[in-house]
Amino acid sequence: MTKNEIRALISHHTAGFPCSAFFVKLPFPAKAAVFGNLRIPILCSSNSLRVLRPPPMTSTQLPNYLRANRKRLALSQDEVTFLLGTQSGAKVCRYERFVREPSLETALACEVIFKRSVSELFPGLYQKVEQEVAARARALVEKTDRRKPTRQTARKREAIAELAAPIS
Amino acid sequence: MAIAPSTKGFGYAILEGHKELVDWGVKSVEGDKNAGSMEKVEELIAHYNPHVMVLEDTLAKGSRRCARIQALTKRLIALAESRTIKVALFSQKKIRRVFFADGCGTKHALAEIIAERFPEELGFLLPPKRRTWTSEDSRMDIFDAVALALAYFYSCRGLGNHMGFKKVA
Repeated sequence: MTKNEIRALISHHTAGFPCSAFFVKLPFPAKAAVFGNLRIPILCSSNSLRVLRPPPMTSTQLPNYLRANRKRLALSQDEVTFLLGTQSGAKVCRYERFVREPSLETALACEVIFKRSVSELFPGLYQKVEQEVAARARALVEKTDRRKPTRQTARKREAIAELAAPIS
Repeated sequence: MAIAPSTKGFGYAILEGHKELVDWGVKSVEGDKNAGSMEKVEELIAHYNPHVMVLEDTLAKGSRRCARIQALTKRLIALAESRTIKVALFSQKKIRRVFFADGCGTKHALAEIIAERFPEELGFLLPPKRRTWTSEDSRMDIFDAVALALAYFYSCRGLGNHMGFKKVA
């Protein structure tokens, strides 16, 4: 990994803080990048580099970010209800309080309103579904392993192994 | 989660990392303000399950916050500790040292820096500069809370004054 690639990656991770100075300390694997008086610990492997971040304020990823996106557009719950074409204004409140999960039609309507993909709007739900699919994919990998190997099963195994990756 | 108590209630900001503003707003309380504030903070904790609660250090040397706010801060600290939430306290001096090169700046200048940092979320909430004969806009509590939260993140990173904000000399 070149110096410029490391610089670009750190700049991406630090939201483009201006870097008045830059260097990576040599002792492997613990390294540190320095921007002015900012020191960021870095874990470096052969082909990957990860900047350690300060702990987040919330414990886990939230099921959805509808409230943040609604507030970003300065919309009220009633206005979002109207745009979603639903009858009850309480529904939006329930989605925002994580009490209720929206239907596919409502989720797509949210994507249209907030101009963010469904997986970005519902990251917690997406992560949960992704993990469930990965678990099922692992079971399916075991099943397909028992079959006679052909080109078709090899392709299938490759696709399923990719799905099983998040938790493997 | 950052809480900025005020005369009418409190402002709050929930952040995921220093870039993602998850929720923000003002909660106004009537009657027993401290009891009402505690209830509303508990609701926020139940909803967001935060790791850290950032508050203003009202007991810091030179702090001029009133006795009610000081008592509320103590109750909030106790609440956070009972829920095993880490508490971070920042005095006004420390916050200004994070945002301004010389450690001096007005509340409005601080709000402008934050509005610039989160233009989509807070840009339209920035109130006009307060005149001497007008009272403070309640929306300023949001900017106070976000300032506390950002001060926490930048103190974690050991950034001091070098954090990419437009520094006001």
